[in-house]
Amino acid sequence: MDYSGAGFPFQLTIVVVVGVCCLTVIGGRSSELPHWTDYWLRRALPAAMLTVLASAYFAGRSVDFVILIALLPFSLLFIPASLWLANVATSRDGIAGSLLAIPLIAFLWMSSFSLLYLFRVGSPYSLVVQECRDHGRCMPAALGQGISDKVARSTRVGARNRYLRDDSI
Amino acid sequence: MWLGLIVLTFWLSGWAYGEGNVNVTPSVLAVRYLPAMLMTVALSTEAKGNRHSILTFLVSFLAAFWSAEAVAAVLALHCGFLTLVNLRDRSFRRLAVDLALACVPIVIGLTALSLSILLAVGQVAGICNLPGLLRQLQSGSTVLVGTF
Repeated sequence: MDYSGAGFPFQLTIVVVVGVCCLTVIGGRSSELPHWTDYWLRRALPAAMLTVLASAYFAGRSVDFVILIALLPFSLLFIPASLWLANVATSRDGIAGSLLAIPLIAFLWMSSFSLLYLFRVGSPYSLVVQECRDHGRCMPAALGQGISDKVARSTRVGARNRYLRDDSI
Repeated sequence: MWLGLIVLTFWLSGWAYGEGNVNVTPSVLAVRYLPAMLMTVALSTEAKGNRHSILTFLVSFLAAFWSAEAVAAVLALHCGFLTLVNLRDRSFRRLAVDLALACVPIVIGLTALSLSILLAVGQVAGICNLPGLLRQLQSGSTVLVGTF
């Protein structure tokens, strides 16, 4: 995967949210702005600030995929906006219907990629599907035993690594 | 909820160019961001007109025990929200009061932490050593191990 352009949607969203909030502040209580700007101040502003904080880690690293850390706070802004757009599109608004294609394509691509990746053979995650399909551990007792074995193996490997590290000094 | 699950599975599977497991780097998960996430939820679920709540108090209190980074993040979120709301209302005096109130749980939490360290260990916490440690880390004289 390439994340070279991944920062742009985050930046754009933050600029939009901060812009609306600044307009609300400049206009004050008696402004002509619609009532939902107050909603943005309470709901969207904290999420946008959290996205900025999470993106700051990306700015300080030379590894571009860490921008994914900001995806979860970004979804707090993206999902409500998509649902609002879908709601408007149901009222036969042509522009909203066209714009709705963007989140629809994004969610379709994300779900296809995620499901194919997470449940593939050799995935770094060992979910219930892999445990049942690849290791035959389908029942809760067998799953619990598998987890216990992995924890025990991990503890042994950790102890061995500590021993080797201390020995090398 | 389904859209949230899609985002979550993408987040898990996209880590390290789609070849890594996010669980090997716990510092990118709740270990670093839980107090900031909880503050976002606390601010978003506040009743209209409220600037402080039991939840914001508890989150700030928790952040005081969590880490210096969590304190900075929680204060940035809460104070940023308070500043914009008060500037919109043109209530500058209330802004000062609100900012002071936002810091109260942090002060209480840090005091409780210091006292508990004093009672448990018999020594005052070495907070004064922290700037020196940070300078050491910045100068590169201390080797940091680990990717994240």
